[in-house]
Amino acid sequence: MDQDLKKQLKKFREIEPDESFLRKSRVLILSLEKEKRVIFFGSHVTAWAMSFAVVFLLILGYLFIPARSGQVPIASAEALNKELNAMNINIALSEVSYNNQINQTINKTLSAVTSNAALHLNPDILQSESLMMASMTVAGNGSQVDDLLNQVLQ
Amino acid sequence: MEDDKLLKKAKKGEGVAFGELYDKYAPKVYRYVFLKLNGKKSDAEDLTHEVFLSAWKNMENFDDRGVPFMSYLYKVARNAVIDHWRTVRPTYDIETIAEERFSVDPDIAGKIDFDSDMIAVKECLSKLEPVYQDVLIMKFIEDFSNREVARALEKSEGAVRVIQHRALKQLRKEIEKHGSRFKKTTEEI
Repeated sequence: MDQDLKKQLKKFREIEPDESFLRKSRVLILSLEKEKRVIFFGSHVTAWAMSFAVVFLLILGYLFIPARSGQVPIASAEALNKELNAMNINIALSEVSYNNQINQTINKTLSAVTSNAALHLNPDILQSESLMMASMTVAGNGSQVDDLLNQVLQ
Repeated sequence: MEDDKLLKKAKKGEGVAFGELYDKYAPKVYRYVFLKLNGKKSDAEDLTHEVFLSAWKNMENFDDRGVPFMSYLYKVARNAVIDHWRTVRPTYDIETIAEERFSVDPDIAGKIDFDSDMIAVKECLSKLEPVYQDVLIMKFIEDFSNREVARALEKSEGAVRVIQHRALKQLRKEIEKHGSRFKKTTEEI
């Protein structure tokens, strides 16, 4: 039975395509210009190597660029906060030192003003004032002034 | 010229060499596609053309160390047939179904003496699973070796032997099952 079947199947070899179809199809296929593949740097190996290099760079870029661009805002915010806190401390310290100086100066001034002792005055100034007083006294106008004042008071 | 030399030249883009391969294998591919498409001549011609066009376009990539060129062509043809059936959904008119299913393409019938047994075998062959059809066509119509069939179907040679056995058994069953109906129909033809 199998042999009969196989014989029957072999009869299908008689199926043949039309000669006209074969001719036409053959001409059409062979007239088609084969697509030229563009291979950079001459060989497939180099092209593959270049592809791998590009992929490798992309992976590296993916790993590192997000670390800079994606995490930078957080990192920079932290850095800015630290910087800001440091600035506040510096500003506070400089203010404290400035206030201390001011306080010291004010204290010195107040003590100098309230003090009756003229020890703090400049000896040159004292000398010039005493000279001026002396000159006024030498001019003899002092008794006349006193007389005039007494007349006004009376 | 031997296939190896022709393939080397064809891979370099020599149309003459590919033309020789075409002349040698186009009838076989056509026959395979024709039987797989239930005898639709125009579709078989279109698919045969597509198979060789694809082979010519991809000739540079063909690796002649592993797969014989014929097995490669059958593989391409097989995929083309699968794609064809995927896109074409057959519709049958209930009035003419019997007439269509048991008739033979008039162009072929004019050239070949399709006797009633052949019509029966063709009809039953089309009812088998696609892989059974493939093995029977390659093995008994085209005289492929088990190795060549295995390469074309991407299966082991052992698997091909098993499929061949089952396919013959199934074909025999189909013919026995529909024997009386075929007898009646072919008498009418």
